[in-house]
Amino acid sequence: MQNAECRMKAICRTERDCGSTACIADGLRSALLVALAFVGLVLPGCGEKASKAEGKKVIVLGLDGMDPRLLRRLMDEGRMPTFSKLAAKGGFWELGTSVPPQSPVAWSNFIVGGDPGAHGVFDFIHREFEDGQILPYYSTNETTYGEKPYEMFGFYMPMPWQESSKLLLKRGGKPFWDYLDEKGIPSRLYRIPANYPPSESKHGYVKALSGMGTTDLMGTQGTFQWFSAEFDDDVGSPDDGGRAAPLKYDMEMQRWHCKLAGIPNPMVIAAQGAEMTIPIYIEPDREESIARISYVNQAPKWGMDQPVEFLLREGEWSDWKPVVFLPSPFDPGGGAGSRGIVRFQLRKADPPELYVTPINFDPAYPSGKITEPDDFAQELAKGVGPFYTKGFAEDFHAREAKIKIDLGGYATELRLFDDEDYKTQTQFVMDEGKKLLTHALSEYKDGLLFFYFSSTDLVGHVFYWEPEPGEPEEFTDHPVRDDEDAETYTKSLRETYVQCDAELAKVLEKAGDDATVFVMSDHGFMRYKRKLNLNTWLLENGFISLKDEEKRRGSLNDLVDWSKTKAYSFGLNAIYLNLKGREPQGAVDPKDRDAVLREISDKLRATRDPLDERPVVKTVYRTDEVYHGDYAPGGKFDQHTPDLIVGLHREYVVRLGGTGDLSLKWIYNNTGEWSADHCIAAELVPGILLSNRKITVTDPNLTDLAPTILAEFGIEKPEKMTGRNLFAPPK
Amino acid sequence: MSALNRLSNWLFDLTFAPMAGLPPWASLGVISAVIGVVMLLAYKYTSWQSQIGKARDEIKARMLAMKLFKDNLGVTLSAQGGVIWSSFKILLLSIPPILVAMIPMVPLLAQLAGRYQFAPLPTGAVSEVRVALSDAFAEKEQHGEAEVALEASDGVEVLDRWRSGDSRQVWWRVRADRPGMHTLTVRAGDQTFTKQLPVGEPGSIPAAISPKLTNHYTGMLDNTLMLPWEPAPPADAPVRSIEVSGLMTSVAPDVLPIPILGNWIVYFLIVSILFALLFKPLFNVRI
Ligand SMILES: [Zn+2]
Repeated sequence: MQNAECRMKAICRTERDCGSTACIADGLRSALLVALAFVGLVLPGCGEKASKAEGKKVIVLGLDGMDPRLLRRLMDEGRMPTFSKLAAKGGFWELGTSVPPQSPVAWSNFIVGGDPGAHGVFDFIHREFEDGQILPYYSTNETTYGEKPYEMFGFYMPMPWQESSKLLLKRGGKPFWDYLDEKGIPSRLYRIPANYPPSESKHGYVKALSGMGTTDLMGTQGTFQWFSAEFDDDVGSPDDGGRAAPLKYDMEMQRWHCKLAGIPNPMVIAAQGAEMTIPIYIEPDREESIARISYVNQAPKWGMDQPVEFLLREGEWSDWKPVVFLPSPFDPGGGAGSRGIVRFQLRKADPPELYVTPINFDPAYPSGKITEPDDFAQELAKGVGPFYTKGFAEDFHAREAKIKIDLGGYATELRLFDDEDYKTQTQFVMDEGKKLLTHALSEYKDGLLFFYFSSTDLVGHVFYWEPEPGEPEEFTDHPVRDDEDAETYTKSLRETYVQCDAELAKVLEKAGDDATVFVMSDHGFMRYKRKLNLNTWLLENGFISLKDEEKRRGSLNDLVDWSKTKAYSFGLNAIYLNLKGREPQGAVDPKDRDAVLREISDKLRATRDPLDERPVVKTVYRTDEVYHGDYAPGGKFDQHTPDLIVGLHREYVVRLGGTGDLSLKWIYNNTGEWSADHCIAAELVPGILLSNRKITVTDPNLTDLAPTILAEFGIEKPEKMTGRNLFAPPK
Repeated sequence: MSALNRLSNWLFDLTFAPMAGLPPWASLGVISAVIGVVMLLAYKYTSWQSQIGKARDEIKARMLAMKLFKDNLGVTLSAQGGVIWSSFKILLLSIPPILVAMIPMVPLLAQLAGRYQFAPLPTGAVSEVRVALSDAFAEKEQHGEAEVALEASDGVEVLDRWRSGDSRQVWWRVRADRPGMHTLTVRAGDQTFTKQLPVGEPGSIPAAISPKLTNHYTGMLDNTLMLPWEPAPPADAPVRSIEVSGLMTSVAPDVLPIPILGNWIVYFLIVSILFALLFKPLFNVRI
């Protein structure tokens, strides 16, 4: 024991009270403190590279679709004091938008500091050819299919050496943050649009969460699921995306059940690709309007299956719940499965009706690349919990969804979201954005911070209906709502704007005096009462020929006689010539290109609305005049570039072309849920720009922001950028 | 069993009392270190030390032999065989002390789980109180012959109730508006059963936290052994179990902000083994 005491002294390095437990605890405590200090100091610093921004800060708050006229009105009413304060300090300008003013195009202009000729995004939807057929794809990303896996024991067995399917970012050009990355200046981009999957950071100074364009777990732009006891097996799909399926009653178990659809099982050989599903059970209380919802997630990799059980009252929303789709423990992903998150709304308790959000990626265990670097997603999940990772988080498809069912011999139309539901759901997205912004600001030190809100746009599409002073009376009344209703719901968009004011206040507080702050939107808004079908217009004006005059319903591929067709529309605003050498069955000789383009343009401009003889088309843009760069006509990569962009007058909007259906009239009344849009002539829907510094140009444009941000960090304007430095001293 | 639980609760409450203000990494560190040393001593007195020492010495001798006669195949092979045999002997010799150590380990881990596995329900959060009724009572409830109700102490609001089709499961949602240790009272017919609901910041509740009380017997271990803090209802009671949700995340709360190492059980194992090894020469233990 002598010996022991002696050693104890050596451990404690102190004379007092040695040998007692207090002494050991002391020693242990200091050892642990040292360890903790080490952990605290060294570990968080590991993933972070030392910034070379030298304290310089630029903060950009991106508010999709915020309209300068509505914003001005709210500022004048004193409802957006922070915006007014910022405008007083620097200024508030209209920001020139892209041609066409569609969000993916506009944000790409912002990202590369040039027009679509510099990045190759011309529309939401682009066309490509396969076996002579025209097919659509989402313009900013596309999935390529890999090698066919081996078949073994009746299953697909993908092997590690085989090329697997890949998701590619289709936006071309060099994003402006790459130049910052090269100089060691950190960029943090939250929900950056038109950047999915996020572009790679070569030097590790970029942290990005992808926004608009990000798919759901199924790889779609958003597939909600709608279950009802009133649906039967052949319920079909709602007209506008999303899925519907029946809820069935199990007498013995006294519960309802349905199947939540997930992703195709990569291992099952089936014509349609067998889908992995999760059985969901709903047990209503026998008296009250409340039910228990339950399901089981299979354990990925190892561990135990995780039951998920919760109560919902009628009309109530759950918080985010995890869903796991596990093909097999031996799948190529090592049995990790695909993990997502969903929220449930119990629309009716008994007999039940259930809405499930599109399956978002789980940021804590992302099954897809939603951030750069990969672990940025987990970092965010740790900071704010689960959140909508999908690009179009506001579920406008659910607002538009309807299904016809047969109710005892009577055809009835069932609808999913009403205005209130849509308001509730869009507010969830807004609230998550606010939480994420608070987190982003707390993490931000210097360099660039970009933060994006989507609700100003997607709430606007449904609820924007602002009366303008001195406008023709026949256009002030709403196409589908009465005056009072229109007024009420315009209010919810106004509330969304007002909420942005508080968010800007948070930004300005963090910015202090030394940061350069921009608040900007990619375009404004315009309500509309009339819709155009460009392909029917082209048909009626002799630019499209049909195989069979009687057959007008179906896809362009089936209906059109290409040998006599000069031009067709695809996407929203684009017209493509059926050019020989470019199109699979081209009919227009390149030497006639100019003449045909002029003919179409002249005819479009002369077109009048049969209702009141008003002109329908304001501007027809020739892409060989307005686009510059590798993707412009004549450039290196011009095979996907449209020839004309149609810019409509206010009160009109284009129906999505390319899907064909030439049976629709070329112009008709808008009776849908969307009452406002921006895919018209770019001059009519400018965005907003506010800054705490005065700009020196009179007509700022989206393309100017990238070179201006670079100049703020002392980087000269790259050759490929056509935008200008907004702060450059006037020449 | 419940007397034993009371004893172990009392002992642990006593142990934790002086460390109430410490962060989890420190209090768990001290406990783990002490347990490591106690286990080491227990090993010393429950194992056949002289035999283990002999086996260890044999291994050393054989290793030396291998080194000295590395050119002699016969000696090397027999030395190797000897090493394997001695190692096997050590393994056999360590079985009895490990078995002895297992007995206190179960309540010990249960006690630590109560303090480090579960976190209180955050203030303002909603928890589900999940009650399982006995078949007999559920039958009565379904026919309106008996009622089941939930009462909560001040600071906890009962929001709504749900019953399964067969009434065997009755759930309530409660919202905790004030921090502290709250009491939930389930009234089934003329009997009452209580369950505690801890609310507040992680680490703000000094007592052990239990998500469940039950008289079910599931798996290998008696639930009363694993959930020692609150008395289970008797086997013939109308209430079989009461569980509160929201206390445990799927991953145990981090003791340290390091993945894996932050898991309390991994942290406990590392610190206790570290201290056992540290004190091994001091107490002259051979393992
Ligand atoms: Zn929009």
